[in-house]
Amino acid sequence: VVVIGLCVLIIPIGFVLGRWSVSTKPSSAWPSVQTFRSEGRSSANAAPAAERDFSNVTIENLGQVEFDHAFELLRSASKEALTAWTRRLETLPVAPRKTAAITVFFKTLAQIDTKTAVDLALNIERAGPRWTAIGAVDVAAPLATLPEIARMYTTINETKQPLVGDLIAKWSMTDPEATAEFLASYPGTVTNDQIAPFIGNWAALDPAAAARWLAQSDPSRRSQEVYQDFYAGWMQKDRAAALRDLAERASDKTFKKAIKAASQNLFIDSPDAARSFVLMLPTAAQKAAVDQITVHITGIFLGGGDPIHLQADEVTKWVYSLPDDLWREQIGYVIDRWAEGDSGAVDTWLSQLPPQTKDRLLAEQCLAFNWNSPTTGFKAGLQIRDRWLREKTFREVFKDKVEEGKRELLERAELSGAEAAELDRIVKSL
Amino acid sequence: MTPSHRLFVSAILCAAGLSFAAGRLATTWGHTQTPSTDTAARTIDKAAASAAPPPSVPEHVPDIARLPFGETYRILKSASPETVRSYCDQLERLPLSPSRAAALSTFFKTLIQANPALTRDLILGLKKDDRWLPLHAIREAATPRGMEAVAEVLLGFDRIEISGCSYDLLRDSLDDWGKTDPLALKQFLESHREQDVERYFEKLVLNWAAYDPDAAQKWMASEIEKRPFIPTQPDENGGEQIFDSDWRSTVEQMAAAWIQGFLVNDPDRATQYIVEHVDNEAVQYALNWLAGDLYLVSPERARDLILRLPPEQQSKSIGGVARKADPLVKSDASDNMTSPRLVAEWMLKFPSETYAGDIRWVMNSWKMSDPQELFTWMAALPTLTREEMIRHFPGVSSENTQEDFDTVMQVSDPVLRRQLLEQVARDAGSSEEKKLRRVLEKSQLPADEKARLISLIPKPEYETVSAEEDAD
Repeated sequence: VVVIGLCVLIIPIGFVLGRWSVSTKPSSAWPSVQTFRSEGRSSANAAPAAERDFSNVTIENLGQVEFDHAFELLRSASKEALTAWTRRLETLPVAPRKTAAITVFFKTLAQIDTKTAVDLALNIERAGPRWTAIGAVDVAAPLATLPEIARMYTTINETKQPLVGDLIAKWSMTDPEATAEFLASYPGTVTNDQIAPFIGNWAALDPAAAARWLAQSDPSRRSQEVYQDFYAGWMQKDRAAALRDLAERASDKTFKKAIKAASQNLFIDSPDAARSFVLMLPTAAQKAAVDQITVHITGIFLGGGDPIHLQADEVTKWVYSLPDDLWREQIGYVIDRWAEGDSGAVDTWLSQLPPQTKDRLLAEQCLAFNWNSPTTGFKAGLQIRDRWLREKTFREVFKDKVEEGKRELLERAELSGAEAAELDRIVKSL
Repeated sequence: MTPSHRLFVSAILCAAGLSFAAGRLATTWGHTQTPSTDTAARTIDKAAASAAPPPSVPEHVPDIARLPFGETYRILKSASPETVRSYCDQLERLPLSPSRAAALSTFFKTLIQANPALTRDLILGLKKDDRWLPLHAIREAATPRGMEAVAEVLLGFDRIEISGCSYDLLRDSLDDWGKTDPLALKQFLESHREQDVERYFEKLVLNWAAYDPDAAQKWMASEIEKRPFIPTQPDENGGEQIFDSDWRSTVEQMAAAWIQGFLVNDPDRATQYIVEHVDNEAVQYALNWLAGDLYLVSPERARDLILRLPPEQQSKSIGGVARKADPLVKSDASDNMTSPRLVAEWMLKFPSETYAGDIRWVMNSWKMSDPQELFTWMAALPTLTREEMIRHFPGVSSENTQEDFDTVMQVSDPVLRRQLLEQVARDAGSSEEKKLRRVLEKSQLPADEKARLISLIPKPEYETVSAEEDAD
């Protein structure tokens, strides 16, 4: 019993000692790592060995090795080795390879040890390599080490060029108060375009603090762009409060961009919410808010097209859900665009509406005809059941047009025989 | 000691020994079960495991932005692809907020280092609108080993979404990649031909020629041989119908890029080549940059190259140098070769007709970086040169009209100030004239001076309304 008791006591102790013996003792299975570690972070006695080994590294080839190796190499290198490599990179002949090597080195180092990367970048003597290094450190530094990037830009002390836009946009995602403190002492140029994302992030995290900062800042900071991002951020935190506040200020043109952006963002999220917001606004602001939605259907977007990909049917139905005075002279353009893409769907939608309403919408579509391809617009006009309204609509279409213009339009419209005859009759009666 | 005592001791020693061994083995098994893809990865993972306790991953994921890079890297490197996917899903589900953006950005910035292929798969698995944030994160952090993944993510967008008149995100990324590893870029371009990547051949040729101009030239020639030009046909207006204009433009750009790369590789031979082939279209196209590139190697060599060119090509070449003027480089810096002052003084050694078209660019850089220094320099120039500089002084911009005007008002020499104000007024274009009038009207200048300067502003041919004014 005694033996069994002693064994029960000893077994767990032995097991734990066995585990400790592994975790506290360097493993011979990882020679390369241990070599780097002992050389890189060693005492002065080991320094010569470290220098000798690191000098064999062709640092300009860092970009050609797996990130694991680059990470391990830079993580374990001594400050002296890193400094020597920086000097070596700086003195490479001017070539794309030099730029690439500096970029890779500083991007990698900035992620592992931002402080050292900043120190080394700032100490580069030649302008070209120094700015390459600064740029690489800036983009690659982890968010947790952005105070180091702030230190870097403060040390550079460049006052004319706006350099800290990315920094404050990123830093404010995690620590807007610290970002604000930095801005308070930073002597360089910071544009309102750069302030906007910062204030947007802050408003998303702490709208009251962001509002206080804005109220206490230079009046030039309270621009349309800055307010646009401020409210967009606040909406992420407390949509109802942000929209209430914005609606109260809507008659001030400084908030026009904020209103437009809020309407658009709300529409993407929920057309019902967008409608409620629009109805909270004064008349002039309502129109701007609706325009901001409809322009995605009626406007021409260069480059990549409509960046938010709104659908004509969805927008048409939304505009129609608003009071008459908000869709009059507006909805026709949207319907016409929808009809250009899917006239059958427009017909189906219109057929579900009361006849008088349908006639009004057809008239709006006809009046919004496209000069280059008037077919869908004219076909809509010819569908108006009420003869008086039909003729009135076409009278409006051809009003003030010279004969040549009328003829051109009629030629462009691709109508059936009956449609053409009816249109001809109307035109002759004008 | 009695036999029974010996037996007790032996049993106890045996138990101690066995438990010790079991403890060691348990540790070893724990380590060998760490997932890894290759030897190098295993080495890093083991090293990391010995340096710090294994991180408790799931709790950290939403707050990943606050973790040190090394820890995040270890988490993502050691996790299975399924686990990494689950982290990504977890982050994607967070409510929209800066914290979510920060977490996702950190996640992808780190993952591109730990596992580029998985990064690509995860991003391409997202809806296109949700790919932008990860794309920007990986473009910032990626080193050449991650560039293939970055390029493939970019190819997942329509070209028009990632490029415009003055930018092309894919071109920039491929250029960065080619600077380090042109052969990897070549392989990538060849294996993605069906995705309309030929337009980027010039970036490969440029960077490859900087390492190995002969190999780059051979590859370029083989590509042209594979796809000869389609013969043109006369059109009804007496002109020429071209059926492969994109490819022709690609070939022209490749040829010019090759000369640029060759110049980097061997400035002496390349300079000789340029001078001997100055009638060649590709050389003429490349002259827009060549002298500038050579200036960075040696301003004297750049000067020598320009002087060896026919007069009509000299002014074109000097523009490349003008664009090297960097407002971030101060005149008193230890390496001030690209400071606007040095570039301006270098350009002024040429006849005025050679630099006239491009000196404005340099003065604009200088005005942005240190206007007082520029004005002092101008005031000290010989009369004729100063007048020349005044004629090329950059006008006000439509975005910063007030600021640009204020800058000129800081000129201490009253004669130079008056001359520059006149130049600014005469130079105002249709997009600036309205704003400049307003700025002048609001200014502290005497009324007759205001009226005189306003009278110098050219009348616009068309009425223009800026987006900003429209918004008002």
